[in-house]
Amino acid sequence: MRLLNVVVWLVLVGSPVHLRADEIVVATASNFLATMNALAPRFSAETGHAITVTSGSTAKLYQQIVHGAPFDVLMSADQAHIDRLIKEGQAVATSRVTYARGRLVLWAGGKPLIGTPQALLSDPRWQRIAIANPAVAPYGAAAMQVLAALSIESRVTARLVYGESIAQAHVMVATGGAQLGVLSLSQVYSADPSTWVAIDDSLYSPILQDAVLLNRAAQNKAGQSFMKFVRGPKARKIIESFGYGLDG
Amino acid sequence: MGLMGDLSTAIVLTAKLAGVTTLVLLVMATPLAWWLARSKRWFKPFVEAVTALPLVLPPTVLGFYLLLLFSPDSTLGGAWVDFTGSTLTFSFIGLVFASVLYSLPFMVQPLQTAFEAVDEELLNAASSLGASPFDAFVTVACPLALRGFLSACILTFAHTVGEFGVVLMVGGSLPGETRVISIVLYEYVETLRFDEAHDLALLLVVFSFVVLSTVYLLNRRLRFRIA
Repeated sequence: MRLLNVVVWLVLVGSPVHLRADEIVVATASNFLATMNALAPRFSAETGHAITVTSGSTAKLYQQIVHGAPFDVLMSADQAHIDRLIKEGQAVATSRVTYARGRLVLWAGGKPLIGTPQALLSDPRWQRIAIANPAVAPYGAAAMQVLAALSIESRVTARLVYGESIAQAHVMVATGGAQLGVLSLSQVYSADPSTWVAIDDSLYSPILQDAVLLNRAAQNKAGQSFMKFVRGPKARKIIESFGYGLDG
Repeated sequence: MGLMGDLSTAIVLTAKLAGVTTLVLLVMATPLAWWLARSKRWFKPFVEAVTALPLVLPPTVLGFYLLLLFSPDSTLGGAWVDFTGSTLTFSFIGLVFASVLYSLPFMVQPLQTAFEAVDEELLNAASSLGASPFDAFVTVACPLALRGFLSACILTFAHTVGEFGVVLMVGGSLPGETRVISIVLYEYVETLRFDEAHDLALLLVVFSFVVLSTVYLLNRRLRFRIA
């Protein structure tokens, strides 16, 4: 089970300002997990609320929420699943916020990478190219848009392999099974910039990632302050430092 | 994109994977099961334990090791690329390799139990009539263990059809190559295509029920170890 595979459990007992701290569970799309793990302790330190982080593909988290998972906030990798939750009356519409804009890069497992995305993707030297499954993952759908925009689908499709999430696509390249991957910049941002090649934003529709407060947390103070925290300057700075865009 | 594509492709692929795995295991596991049934060596329990490991290990353990083993940077994965020009990960042959490990106990254990039930006296009689050990095995033990062979093959086939975790980790969801029906079902659920998911899930329940019923009917008198 991926549920609760990452737990950040910070309880600040005895803080004079927050005598009765609340707690929240934040379900996080896998591409944002590393960033979320950096945000969580900041949030706790700032507000005194406890926060637990759980992650998975957005589609899976959505399923879990619909089936009663005890999550308070969903940090989605897209807007579509948030639209659906609001339409189905599972989330607080007014709490919705776009917290990050995802960026696509090419990555070859840490080897220096030179060339345009078009030339690199077309090069048959890369026998296997990992992307997230476009049917379930927004980053996979964006990767397919890039191939279409560059008109290189016919040269690339036969070499594609599909991870169930952008995180699995990353693993596929990291273990050498695939030689090249279309990944989220956030996954490789901390590495040497010569090891990744950015894909121009104009080649795919913006990967806008929305967050929303779920119904069970509508009255939860920690949930409300988390939604405020995510929009605040400190959080935005951290999010940006992981390679995400902030507009939209 | 055709990613959710053809269910029939996935069914044919799954049957092919299960069939090839069953054949490979039949050849590999028969001598092992025979040795386990007859041996009195002190290390036999350890061999039995290794054989049974896939029953208790999470598929993620096998998936993790296979991911590393299949990598072109590893000895096996690298040698494979040198010989064939393609990688073991995300390939049908890689899945066969994985399934052989994953389904090993389902072939070995019913066979071992069937072989253990073969009366030693019959083998002695065959050998006193001039039969070589191999002759005795083929002409005496194998016919007596026929039901064990049937159970073992049916269970191995069915268990391979039911494989999911390992395939998810080393498969890459390639239509006609690694996208087996358990993966298709997973993608149906993830994309909220519940009608198709229902059909496929029901098909698998019925299939598994028929398989298990067949095995239990076959083994009304011959007990074996896998419940």
